[in-house]
This record gives sequence, structure tokens and C-alpha cells, in this order.
Amino acid sequence: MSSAPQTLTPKERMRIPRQEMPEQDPEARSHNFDEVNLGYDAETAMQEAQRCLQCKKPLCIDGCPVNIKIPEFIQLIVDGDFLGAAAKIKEDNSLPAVCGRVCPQETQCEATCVVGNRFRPVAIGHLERFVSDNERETGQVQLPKIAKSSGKKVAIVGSGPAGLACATDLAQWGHEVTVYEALHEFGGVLVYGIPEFRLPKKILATEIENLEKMGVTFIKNFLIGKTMTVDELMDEEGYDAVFVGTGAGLPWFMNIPGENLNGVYSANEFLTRVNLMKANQFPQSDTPIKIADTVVVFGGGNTAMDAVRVSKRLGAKRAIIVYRRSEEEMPARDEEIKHAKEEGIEFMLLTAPKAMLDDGQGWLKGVECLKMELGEPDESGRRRPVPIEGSEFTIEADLAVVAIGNGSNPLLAKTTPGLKINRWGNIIADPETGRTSKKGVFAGGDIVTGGATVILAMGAGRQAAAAINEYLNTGKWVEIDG
Amino acid sequence: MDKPFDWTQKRPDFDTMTYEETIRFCIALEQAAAAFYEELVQGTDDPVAKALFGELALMERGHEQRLEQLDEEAFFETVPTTIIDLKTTDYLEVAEPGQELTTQGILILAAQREKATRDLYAELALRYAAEPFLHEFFKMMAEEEAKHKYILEEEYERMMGGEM
Ligand SMILES: Cc1cc2nc3c(=O)[nH]c(=O)nc-3n(C[C@H](O)[C@H](O)[C@H](O)COP(=O)(O)OP(=O)(O)OC[C@H]3O[C@@H](n4cnc5c(N)ncnc54)[C@H](O)[C@@H]3O)c2cc1C
Ligand code: SF4
Repeated sequence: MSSAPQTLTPKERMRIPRQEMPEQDPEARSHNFDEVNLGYDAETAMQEAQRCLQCKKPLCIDGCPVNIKIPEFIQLIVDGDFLGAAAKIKEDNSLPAVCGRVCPQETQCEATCVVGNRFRPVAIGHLERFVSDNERETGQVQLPKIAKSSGKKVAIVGSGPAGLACATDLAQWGHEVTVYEALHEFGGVLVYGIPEFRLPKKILATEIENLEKMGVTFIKNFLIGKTMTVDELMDEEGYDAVFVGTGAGLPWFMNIPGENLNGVYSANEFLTRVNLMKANQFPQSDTPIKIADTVVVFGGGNTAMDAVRVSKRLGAKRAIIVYRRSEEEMPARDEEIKHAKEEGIEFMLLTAPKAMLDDGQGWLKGVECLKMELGEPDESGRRRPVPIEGSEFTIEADLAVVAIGNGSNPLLAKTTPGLKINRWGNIIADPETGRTSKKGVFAGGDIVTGGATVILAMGAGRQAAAAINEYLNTGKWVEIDG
Repeated sequence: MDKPFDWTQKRPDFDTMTYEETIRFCIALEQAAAAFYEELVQGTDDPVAKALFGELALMERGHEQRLEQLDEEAFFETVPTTIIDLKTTDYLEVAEPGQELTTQGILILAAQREKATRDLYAELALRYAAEPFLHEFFKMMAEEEAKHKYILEEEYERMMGGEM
């Protein structure tokens, strides 16, 4: 590819406006499951890449949890070397097409981008997405060279971003890797949680295919802790090490009256029915889902945004977010909140549910809510939301989705003697290496941190892979504290 | 030792109880609370949870001792502060008795117990309004239970994260 001239001064670069991401029209997209963001074309990507100042001290790298060499990959885009740019990102991030779509860039790399001090920051996420899509769509994905077989076997439990990232590196270093997954599709939250309109499933499918080409074996419908235990994997199946990346898939409930009524779903169940079981295509698919006029979704994270936007696409006339804090505290990505609003989602903030109301037949007919107010500042000066007594009001609704977060499933820890967990049921692991309290067993991702982000899970998978590699090569095991 | 306090039983009618009976009741209450936290300490691997529940157990044992001694001098050394009531768990349902409790359930249950104890001491403070020492003593105990509720509700909010 031809190389673009490098003639712009920093001032000129900063004068270029941030290139907008082309999107589907809000009204049209609120009735379909196609991807909302349409992606940059090459010209737009090169124009956006010109905005990067190539800082001597690139603060964006500090903002990225896995320290992608951001200015270097952006310069390769400026030079027209898109494949080189994709390869540069992959030195630090195994799933750039995913992260370019779902990372909260506004609180990470783009939050610290120097251009952002005066103008809108460089669209690092959009550029990351562009180069990895370009690589995949042009069929030019370069698979890493696989080292000579080490003769060592590693089992990966869970095929979310942590497990996939760990598998990628271990396979590359010549170890025999098998991924065990409880569900019938691979990808973890990336397939069963995040909807098609944010992350098309074909992206994950390509990642899995590539891993298979690298020699990784995938086994589905296999629940470790039930079908086979971790000890059995090591003692009977001959695995030299096990990586646990089982995520945080056990939904929290609100513990309010009426939560067991028909028509009340956990976000996990609701999203799995649509994303994995294709309930939106019922009766062509086997799984039904209740189609409702008014849907209330509780929570302020990405899960809540996904659930409420799915419900709108399923045909809800009113789709409402109920969140007990203010918009500022919402952990959802800015883009998801913006998109939700454009699609006509209602936001009831500083509002908390008090009870789910029964229609007399065991079905939900509404939700009783309480208004919240910001209370007195606590010792740290924070003003916390507290319920206003007597402020009860009712929202009539025929479907409610609880999306207030997830804890970890206790099954694996319970069936693995010697594996220590913390007070929330998360596995205790060394943050640098993923080593657990049990020899040969490593862990990373949401099962260790509690619900977090794709990039952190991916980073933890890679750190653990490096530690597993060292352990397999040296046989040296260091006990962890605690 | 007194019979441990049974949380499933109804609140006693303080009108029919003597001062001594009231104090013995409060002691049993504190013993039960301490035992509850001590059991939680035993049941976890996590050093942070051990510290949290251990601290609460110690505080309840401290209350027990204070009730045993009812020492005016020692008491007036402690100055109560006003604690913020987050009310995070006020409207939540306590898990069914007999069901295995999740961490979420444990925190709700513990915070609601602290609330009940706080209200009970507040009621006793009113009942003994004419007796300055006892009035202040029960007021302070109520504040301390409010603080325990705050600690537990903070932990609950931390555990649930910002999505809730
Ligand atoms: C709806 C939703 C939207 C989200 N949106 C975003 C977003 O926009 N951006 C972002 O950065 N993060 C987002 N997150 C969070 C992010 O998806 C997670 O932090 C990340 O997926 C964690 O990765 P993981 O590999 O640790 O676990 P997971 O992705 O949860 O994968 C774990 C896998 O292990 C399997 N498993 C569990 N137990 C067993 C067992 N015993 N045996 C075999 N397999 C097992 C599970 O079936 C699952 O497939 C979202 C989460 C949800 C739920
Ligand atoms: S901070 Fe912004 S401008 Fe500087 S190198 Fe990073 S992306 Fe470019």
C-alpha cells in the first residue's frame, strides 16, 4: 500500500474534526438486530488516524489496561499499512475486533488521549475496530507461528475472553490446549450476553475457527465440576495445568417481594434466550420469550442497556431503565447510553424498585418504585442515594428484567478441594500470574475480579498463559499469599 | 449463660419486663449477634471477610460486656456520632429461614438485624427518657448498631457494584 505524506503540523492535526462512526438510523435499528455501528471505511480511518499527535509520552497507552502500542498502530494506518496495524495491536490484544466494539474507551485510552484535553480525543476504538475488521473481511488474518510441541497439556475451563486469550498464547508456545465450555457455543458473555447489534456473532466464530486452526480443541456442553472435576482433569486426563476462566455468570437478585412472578427475568436468562437460543425468531427457533408492551429493566450497566434495547427490538412500546443512582454513576459505556436514548428508551433515574406486583394469576402487572434522593455526604464527601419515604409510585409493566450484576457460580470452587475463594465466591488468585491456592491451577477474568470488562479478562488470560508456560517449563510453583 | 436470643421470636413487651430482665434480654441479643458473626468468620477463607465479620463480632462482644457492667464512668468516655442511614437493605426481603444463604443474603440479613437492634435500643432510650444515664446509654447503643448497619450496607453496595 502507498504511504501517506507526513506533512501535517500538530495544529493542523488537531483541526481535523473527529470522524463520526456511521450508524444505522435509530428508528430503523430499534426494530432489527443488525449491527448499529457500521464501521469506518479506509479513507475515514486514515483521516482519523491523522489526528494522532504521535506524542512522545503517549498517555493513551497508560490508559489502556493491556498497554496496546496505540500511536504505533495509528501511524501504520496513516502509512496505509492496515495489516501491519492489526498485527501491532495483536502483540498486546488477542481480540481487537471485539475490544474495538465493546471496550469503554471513554474511561480508558481515549480518556487520557492528549488531543482530548482540548478537542474530542482520537477515536482509538473505532480505529482498532477498522484494522481488525479489514484483516478479517479481506481474509488476510495472519495466524501466529506455532512452536514445536512441548508435550504438555493444558485444560481451559470456560471459553470467554479470558479462556480464549489464554488458549491463544499457550497454543502458540506449543502446548496442547483443550477448552471445556458448559454451553453449546463458545465465547462466554461475548456470545450469550452481548447482543448481535453490538457484537456480531460471526466475529467470534472467526476467532474460534482460527484457534482451531492453531490446534486448540474445543469441547462444548461440558460442565467442569459436574461432568468432570478439576482434580479428574489433572489426575485422570493427564493435564499438566488448568486455567479457570468461568466468569461471573450467576445473577444477583434484588430480594424484593414478587421477584419470582412470571414475567420477571434475570438479564442473563433474558439475553441468553435471545442471543443464544434465538428466541426472537420463535417459532422458527425452539425457545419462546414473552413479548411485552411495557418492559422495565433494573440496573445501570452494559447488561441493563443490552436488555432494554433487546426488549425494544422485540416490540415493546415502552422500554424503561430504572436505576437508583444518577446518570453520572451509570457504569454502562457512554455510547450504549447514547444509543439507547436515540432508540427511545426511557430513563427513570434516582428510582429504585420496592416490589413486583402480581396480577392475581401469578404474572407481573407492574412495579412499585421509590424515588431516591442524594443523602448527606459521608466521610469521603460522597452523597449517596437514599430512598424518600412515602414516595412510592407504580409503573404498569408486563415484563421486568433484573440487571443489577452477577456473582460467581460456586460449582467449580465447591468441587475443587484446596481452591480458595474470597467472600464473594471469587477465586483468590495472584493478580500478576493468576496462580491460585492449588498447585497447577490458574484463574483469571470475572471469576477472580467479579464482573469487570472484556479487556481485563483478556489481559488476565494472557498473564496467566505466560505464568502457565513458565510453570510447565520449570515445574516451579510458588504458593500465593492468603 | 442466658439462652441465646432467637431471631424468629417476637419482640418482647418491655412494658411487662423489669429493668434487670430488659438488660438480660439485651445481653442475650448481643451474644446471639456475636455468635452469628463468629460463625461467618469460621465459614469463609477470605481474609477481608474474616476481618469484617470478626470486627463486628468483637463489637457485639464489647456491647455484651458493656451491658454486663453498665459502667457509667467508662461509658461517658465514648462520644456517639450521628451515622448516615443508607437504607439500602430496608426494603429488601430476608431470605426464607432454612434456605442456604448467599453472600448477598447474609449481608441483607445482617444489616436488617442491625436495624432491628438499633430500633430496639432507640425504643429503650425513649422508655428510659427520665433516667439520664440509661437514656444516653441506650441512645449510644442505638448509634453503634446504626454504624454496624452502615458498615454492612456499604459492603453490600460495594459487592453489588455500580450496576445496582
Ligand atoms: C450483557 C453483558 C454486556 C457486557 N458488555 C460489556 C461491554 O460492552 N464491554 C466490556 O468490556 N465488558 C462487557 N461486559 C462484561 C464482560 O463481558 C465480561 O467482563 C467478560 O466477558 C468476562 O470474561 P470471562 O472470560 O472472565 O468470562 P465469561 O465471558 O463469563 O465466560 C465464562 C465462560 O465459562 C463458562 N463456564 C462457566 N462455568 C463453567 C464450568 N464449570 N465448566 C465449563 N464452562 C464453564 C461459561 O458458560 C462462559 O462461557 C458485559 C457483560 C454482560 C453480561
Ligand atoms: S495520547 Fe492521543 S494523540 Fe497522543 S499518541 Fe495517544 S492517541 Fe495519539
